[in-house]
Amino acid sequence: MSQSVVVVPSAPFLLPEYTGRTDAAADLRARAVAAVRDAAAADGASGVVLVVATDREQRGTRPPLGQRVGAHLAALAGVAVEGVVTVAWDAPAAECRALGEQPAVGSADATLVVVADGSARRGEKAPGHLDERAFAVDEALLGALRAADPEGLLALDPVLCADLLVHGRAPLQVAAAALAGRPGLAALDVHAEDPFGVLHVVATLAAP
Amino acid sequence: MTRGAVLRLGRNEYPATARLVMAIVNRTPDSFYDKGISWAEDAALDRVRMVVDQGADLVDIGGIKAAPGAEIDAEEEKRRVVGFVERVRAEHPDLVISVDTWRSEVARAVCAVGADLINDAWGGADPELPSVAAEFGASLVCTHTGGVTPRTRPHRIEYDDVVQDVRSSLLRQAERAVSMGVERERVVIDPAHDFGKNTWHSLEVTRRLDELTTLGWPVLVSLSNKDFVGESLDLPVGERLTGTLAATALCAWHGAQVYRVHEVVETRQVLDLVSVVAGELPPARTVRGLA
Repeated sequence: MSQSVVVVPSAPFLLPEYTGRTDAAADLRARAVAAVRDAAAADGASGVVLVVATDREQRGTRPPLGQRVGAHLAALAGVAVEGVVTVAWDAPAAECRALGEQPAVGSADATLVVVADGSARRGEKAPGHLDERAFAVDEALLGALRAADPEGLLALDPVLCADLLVHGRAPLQVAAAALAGRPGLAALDVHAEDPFGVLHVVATLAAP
Repeated sequence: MTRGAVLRLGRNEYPATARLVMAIVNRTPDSFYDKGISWAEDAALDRVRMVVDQGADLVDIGGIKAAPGAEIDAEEEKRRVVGFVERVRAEHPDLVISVDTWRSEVARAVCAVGADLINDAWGGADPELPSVAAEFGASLVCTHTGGVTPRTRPHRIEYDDVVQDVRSSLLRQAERAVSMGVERERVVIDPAHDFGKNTWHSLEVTRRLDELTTLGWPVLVSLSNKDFVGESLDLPVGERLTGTLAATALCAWHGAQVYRVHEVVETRQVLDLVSVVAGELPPARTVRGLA
């Protein structure tokens, strides 16, 4: 029995209620759905567990965006959501590690779907405008995914990530803790794009 | 109160929330706005091609200008429009074609070569017009003119309540058309701004258009560059587009469904914006704050 971890974006334009007549997120959504579907099938899993962050600014009573986006992608992939692990968007790394080490996360008989983005400060038109530091931090995040290196993810600096509007650091660290020390962990695919100044990632890591 | 109604034109059926652009194509040498720009048949055909490319939902072909002028008899009117409708139909098999005429003789000739809609801009001056629409399964626009003779200007006309007069006239004409065999969903009502109306009347009709859009019939408005816009803003023909578009937005908000216009692109944008604000059409593409 393998367990896969799939990283998908938490961008609201992946949700149907935010989609215009021309769907600006069609390709990204299709890629994310395919990744979730393929990983769940490869795992022979009965469903997926979502790992999501709280919203940075909680304004209403709805579940966090990450949870809603993750649930929508899972539904499109035809897989059941068996659980949701929610971590505070600004939780310290130690707290993320402790959460990820809980048996309910790491040893769940389910594919982990981490709903996470890189920096939203990757250009003049980006939601958080341009911060040149974003590229190095995002590269560290992507490098850790490509190398299937949980410690690399756990080394991401919460304060710097908060500064750079990286909305995926905490859930990625929860998943990293769940995977740490797993023999044979490998990255199957890491796709990254930032057409709107936000780093969107679709990645699949698997341990045999 | 429910606004609008399902509308059928040609083979198409449109929901009550649709807002359709009807592009004016004049086969006249003397219409007030375009001054004969599409008088030549090939120029008129070019205009049809252009408005179709611009997103018009239907074209309204007319052979006689509305204002007084040289008399055009039925034979001449047919020479201007029948062969032309035939050419448009051949080139645009799916385009909804309307013909602006009050004469049943002309209506019969254009329906025989493929017209889908008879735009009776003179308020039933020829009582046989609905029977032609019924015979060919065509749609029909009923208009309010206050009973004036075709091609006359209103002079010193008064109403106790213009909207009430429009309402009762249009309901009477629409029900009569249905009783003569026109399919209910193929009847359109048009308050006819500036026809039998001074500027005050046209403004009141615009302000209270919701009293017409809730009658259960689709409403057509013909506002484009008209005198009520010009008098409201003190602007001559040629400088009335912005005012026309503002009136268009108001009528759209009230629920009018068909807009007879000279400028297709600008009208389409206004109508789409109103539909988007009304929540009846999603925005074209949304990314801002959502990526």
